[in-house]
Amino acid sequence: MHSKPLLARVVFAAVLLGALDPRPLLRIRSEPPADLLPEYVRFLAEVKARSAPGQSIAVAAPARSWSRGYSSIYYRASYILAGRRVIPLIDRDDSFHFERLGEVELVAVWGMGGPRGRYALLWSGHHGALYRRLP
Amino acid sequence: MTALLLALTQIVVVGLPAALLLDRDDSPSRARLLGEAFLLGSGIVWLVLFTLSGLGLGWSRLSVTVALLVVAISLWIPARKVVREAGPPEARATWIDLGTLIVLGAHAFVAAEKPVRHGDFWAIWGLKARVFFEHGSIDWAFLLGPFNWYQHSDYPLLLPFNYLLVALHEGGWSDRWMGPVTTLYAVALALIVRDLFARELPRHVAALATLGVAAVGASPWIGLADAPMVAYGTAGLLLMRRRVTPLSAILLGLAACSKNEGLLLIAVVVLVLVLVGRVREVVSLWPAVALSVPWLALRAWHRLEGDLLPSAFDLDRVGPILRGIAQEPPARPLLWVGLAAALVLLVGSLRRERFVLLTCLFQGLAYVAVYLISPHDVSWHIVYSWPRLLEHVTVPLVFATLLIAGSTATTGK
Repeated sequence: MHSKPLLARVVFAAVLLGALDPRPLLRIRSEPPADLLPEYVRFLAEVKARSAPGQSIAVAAPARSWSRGYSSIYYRASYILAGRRVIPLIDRDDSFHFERLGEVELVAVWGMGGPRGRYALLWSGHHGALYRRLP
Repeated sequence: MTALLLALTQIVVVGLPAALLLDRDDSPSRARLLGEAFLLGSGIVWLVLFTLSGLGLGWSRLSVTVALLVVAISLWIPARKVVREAGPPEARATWIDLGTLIVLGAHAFVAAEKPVRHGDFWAIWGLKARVFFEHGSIDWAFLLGPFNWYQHSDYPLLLPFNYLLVALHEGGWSDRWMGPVTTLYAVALALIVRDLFARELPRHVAALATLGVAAVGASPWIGLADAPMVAYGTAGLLLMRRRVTPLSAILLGLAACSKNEGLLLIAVVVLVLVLVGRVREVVSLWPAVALSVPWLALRAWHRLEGDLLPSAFDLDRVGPILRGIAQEPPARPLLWVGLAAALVLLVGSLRRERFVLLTCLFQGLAYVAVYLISPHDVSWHIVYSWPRLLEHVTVPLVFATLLIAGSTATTGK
């Protein structure tokens, strides 16, 4: 006769206890830091300090495709170099676009050798270097 | 930290008179008014920055503060005359509310422990705020740029604009204290929900139920726009349930200013109002539509397209979609056992909350249907988005279930 209120209490308790499951919150704490490559972030901070708002900067790093690393490299650069025009050298269809090197003012190279051709080294450090394209 | 507190103060000071003016017929408690003040104030920040940018006035700490002050004064003048009745006595705090405080405090601690870590913060929400901060207004060249594949130029800007307010007070960009903004939306929702439960449940049961909703409403997606979407969407829906208009419609509109899913929610609420025989109230949703229009118009004007493609519609995907969702384990298994148990054991009482329950059902189904027009690999898209989207409907679902169960447990009906 009194089963409905009892069942309601069971449901209330289950929903409440389920809601209090701390695992989603604990998962945030165990998430890897956004900066898996802290040296890259330090490099970008130096690039930002050595470039002006509005300048176009191509970002080169040792990534084989968009989905295998370059997207993170590119978007981290876009975030830290906000105010500059950050130009990718690999598109999301994994096509390489080195021709864009001819359209930018600066080239930020991290974790690999510098570009060939008419470029002046502006600064190097934190496993990378910043080059200015010469006319 | 100081910048965040200054931004919070501005948000509440400008939002409180709006709450007093918009919620005067339902005798809200002070806690509820405070929650509404934050949500409305956050919306006003979006509107002010949007207007300043549109007028070409640019953003600075001074210009934004002056503009917010003008809005606050113009709202406080009529709000002073509002005669406020006392809220429900059951809304008085109990020792159980300490549990809610601890849950939200723990969330704030985790959110503030380190700079925001989620990739979508620095690739979407934080990125836009930072780019616009550097630019001093909305940077259309950035939004229209050819390489912005991930930052979704079409996404609405309420959350980035609130990050901007923090940055303006900081005097420079720092994501160190952006995380707790997520917690603030959860706190605002908890304050509103506490009042709503207190109207229909005994005091201690109301406090326990609030604890449950607050725990689910405290979004684990720190830095992302799902937190404001949940807060605005749930608060709007629950106040629409009580026929608190136009406030509920404004909150639903602000949900649409937070995430595109908010637009879907407005459409679903219209559908459900019709289904439950509240057809006449559909027109009361006009503020929700009006708030959505400016960004939609600019999106259309600038041709900022989303990544969903109606031409990608493919019914053959239904199987993979359902399999993909089934393979995504819920973050809180016991919660879903409880919700499923409610469906079976309290089926006779569910009708009472059909407005909220049907809205959750149709919103959830709409999210599933959207995968049919996704240009992405469906399994990737589900893994990436489903847990976050599910949160949008889980919070009001938990509210309705705890209300039904709490009411049945105490009254036997």
